[in-house]
Amino acid sequence: MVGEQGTVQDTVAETVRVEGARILATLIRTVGDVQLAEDAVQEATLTALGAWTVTGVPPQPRAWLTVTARRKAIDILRRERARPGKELDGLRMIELARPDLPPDHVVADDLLRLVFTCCHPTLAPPTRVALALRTLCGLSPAQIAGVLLTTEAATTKRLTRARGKIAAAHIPYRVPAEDELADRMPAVCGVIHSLYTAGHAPLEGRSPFDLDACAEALRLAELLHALLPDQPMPTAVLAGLALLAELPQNPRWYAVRAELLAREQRYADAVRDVDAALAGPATDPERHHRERRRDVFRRLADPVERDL
Amino acid sequence: MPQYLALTYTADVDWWAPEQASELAEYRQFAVDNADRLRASAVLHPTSTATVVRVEGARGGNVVTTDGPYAETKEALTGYYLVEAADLDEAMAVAAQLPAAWGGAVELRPVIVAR
Repeated sequence: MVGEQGTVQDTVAETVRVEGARILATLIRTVGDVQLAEDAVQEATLTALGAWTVTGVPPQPRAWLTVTARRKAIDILRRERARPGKELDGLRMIELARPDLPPDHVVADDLLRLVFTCCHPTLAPPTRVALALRTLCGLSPAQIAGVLLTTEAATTKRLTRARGKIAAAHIPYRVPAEDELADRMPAVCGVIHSLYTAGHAPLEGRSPFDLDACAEALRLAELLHALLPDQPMPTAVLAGLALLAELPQNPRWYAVRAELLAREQRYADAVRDVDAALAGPATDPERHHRERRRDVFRRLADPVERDL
Repeated sequence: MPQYLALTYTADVDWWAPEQASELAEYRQFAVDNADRLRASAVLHPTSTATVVRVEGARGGNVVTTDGPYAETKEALTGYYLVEAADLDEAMAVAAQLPAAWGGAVELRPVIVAR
């Protein structure tokens, strides 16, 4: 039975990691509270761990988790009904009671809102990274502490403070207007960039390449690029990461390369540089890529470095 | 609607002094431009006019007063504006128009609004 339990746990963990951000993003908009939504998803995860061990993994784990998380949110809202300002709101309850999954375009909008809230310029850069890892990548405070080279207690405190500020100061849960995007994009790309950099920071007693953080950075870069395909900066960051993360063989690079070439001259120049780097002799691949990384990022994501 | 207290931190000046007139006019203009968002505002006399009050022990204890500023700092609290805004982004847009934002700093503190 131990083996089976392990499989269920793996499936729950995998579903939460992949779908958690989608479920959370819509739930935050519905309940208007990051902490409450996170608690609901957390409780739904625990319920899934218990139930799926007995019944087996349901055919649609995502739908199961989404509906369960909504019910947990209703429970929490009911428990807090006595508290001032937490009265049950009819419209909210109707949306929470729905049995169906939100359509993809709604989830995409919610994810984008979550990205811009987590990466709001009024939050300190390390806080943005921690929030993004928690809400968008579904990492635990202990895992985030590993990436940020700090303790689990400090990370938990940082996250609690951040959620408190988002709620008290009314940091908006919305996608910035088109003319604001240019101002807000560096903070978002900066999170991805520093996350990737953190993945390469040498940790004492650990492998110098914490591939997890790099993979999460790449995942976020791909998410942002998919959500905002017309914005050049996420594309540039994704291109940089795709090249740097998985080295020349990475097919992702060739996918974004074509897009970049179609854009401004600045990006076309960067593409030529990258191509040259890939074609050149790589006697010491480590050093070679470290140098290229510095160079490529300077060209591709200049505003990102200025921001952090 | 959420409220924010915008505290202005600038050089510790006497706003009544003639050389401050033009800057004071900028603050007045700010108040006119944002009249529909401001619920209260005040400009303060310099910290040299301040009195710090403390009561020893508990309520009812000896009242101890200290003359002058609590601590000598380069930037002092010189005024406040109670701003009403839909969210932090809107409040920031208002705060960024305060002359203190480029002459010093503006601290935005969300106010606990009774519901």
